[in-house]
Amino acid sequence: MAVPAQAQRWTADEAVTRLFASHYRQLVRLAALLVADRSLAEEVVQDAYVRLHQRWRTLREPDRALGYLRTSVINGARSALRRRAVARRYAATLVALPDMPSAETSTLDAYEQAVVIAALRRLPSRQREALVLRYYADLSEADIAEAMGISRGAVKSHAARGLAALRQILESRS
Amino acid sequence: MTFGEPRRAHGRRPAGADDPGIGELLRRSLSHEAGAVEVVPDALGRIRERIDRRRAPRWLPAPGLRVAAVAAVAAAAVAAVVVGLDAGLPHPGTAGLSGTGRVTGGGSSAGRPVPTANLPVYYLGPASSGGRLYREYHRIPVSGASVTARIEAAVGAMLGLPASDPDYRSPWPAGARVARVSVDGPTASVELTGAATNDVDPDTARMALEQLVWTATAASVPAGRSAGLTGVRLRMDGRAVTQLWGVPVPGQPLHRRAAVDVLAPIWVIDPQQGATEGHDVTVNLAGIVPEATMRLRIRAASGAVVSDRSVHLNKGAPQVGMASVKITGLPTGSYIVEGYLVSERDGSQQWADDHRFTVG
Repeated sequence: MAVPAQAQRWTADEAVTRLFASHYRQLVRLAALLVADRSLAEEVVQDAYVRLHQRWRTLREPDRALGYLRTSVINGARSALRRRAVARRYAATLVALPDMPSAETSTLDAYEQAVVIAALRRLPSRQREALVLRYYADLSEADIAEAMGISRGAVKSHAARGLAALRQILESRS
Repeated sequence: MTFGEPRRAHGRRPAGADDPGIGELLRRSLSHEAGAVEVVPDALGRIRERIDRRRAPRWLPAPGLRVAAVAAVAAAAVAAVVVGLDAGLPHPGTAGLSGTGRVTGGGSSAGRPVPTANLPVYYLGPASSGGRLYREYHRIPVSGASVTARIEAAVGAMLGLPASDPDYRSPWPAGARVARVSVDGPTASVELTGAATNDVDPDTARMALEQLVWTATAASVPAGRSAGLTGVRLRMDGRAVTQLWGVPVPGQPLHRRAAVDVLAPIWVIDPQQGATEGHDVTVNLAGIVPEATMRLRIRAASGAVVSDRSVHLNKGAPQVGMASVKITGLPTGSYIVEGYLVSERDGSQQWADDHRFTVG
């Protein structure tokens, strides 16, 4: 869902309200996939909205506000993961890959998905970002490059390496 | 962003994908994982509150001073700040680390100077730093030169003046005000209004108490001295406080907990967030770090690393160590200065504190 052209006429307060309604939940989910911590994900996204409000008047292209928010969220998540407290919590969520499905595990599919998420969290942050932006946010290569602040070639490289690493982790489980 | 649009499962091939099977498995797994994430009900309210706190001058210490101090607000809002790790560190304008000296002078109203003081205010770092405390110095209108006036102004700023660094925050509710401050021996008594209820987690409530104690006791230290009051009695709406936002308050008066348990272990003191520097920049750092060793990195706005080096502080943990590093010949442009630690275990960066600044 794109930001409409009339965004240029929004005040900063209007921009925050409208962009909150249309994108907040999805941005929190994106951040949660990156930091593996729901409350921190909300904080990262709220930071992004506060910064957007601060910079609204000087934003060169208000119609690209969503891109600004997305980049802020990715940078915020990356920055947060650099810090020890989060790294600890994050490491705690890594634990080991799930054991084979037990009687309590509802379906094999759920087990398989849990293994994938656990494996994804073991990847270096740039590889994880590239894969989440591609396979969750469904962004084009160009949009991923813009969001991550890297070249399209680098996006390809991170995504390819991430998939290869993911495959290796998953194959080692089979 | 294409959130909300139908997935293009059979459209273009994913970047780097050479195995549609794993791509589809990843897509399903991410969708399932994300779908379980719900947002807090009052998220927009929280965002608006933070925005309001950044733009509203609610922190002025006393109604009688507000009119006279209006002219100083603009100066204070843009005042560069200088930080240190504890009250023992030099204040701006005193001997030792003096910061960049970019603090503006007091404002005036109708030609009459408004008294101001450069006071320490503690803020909580982001949740990603465990909510530990950072300190900034702000030039704040004060009602006089007394210790009570300094505490009243600093705590008032803590409640309502946003930190210069956007990564720092104050968890007190928007309506919180200082009602009165008094001093009895080594203890300050601080009474607040409008702060009785708040929606924060217990850890944040406990750090808010530390924020108050550290700010009030630091503000009590006279310029050029290293010691001030040691305790704080907290009262709210006329009564002694026994719990704050659901968290029991230990016996009063309250005292500072150990710095190593409360303060963020890495601080970039100078350049401050948003500062403008010359081509030769002095970076002042402080930290409570093992082996008295930390890392310093300067990055250009493009992300290019200009400098990344190890820095030896003058003291190691649990003491507060400091260091001053001169970076010469930086071209005109925007930069980020980062202090951080490197994990001995896995080489990851920890406790990064960063400030953006401009050269030119």
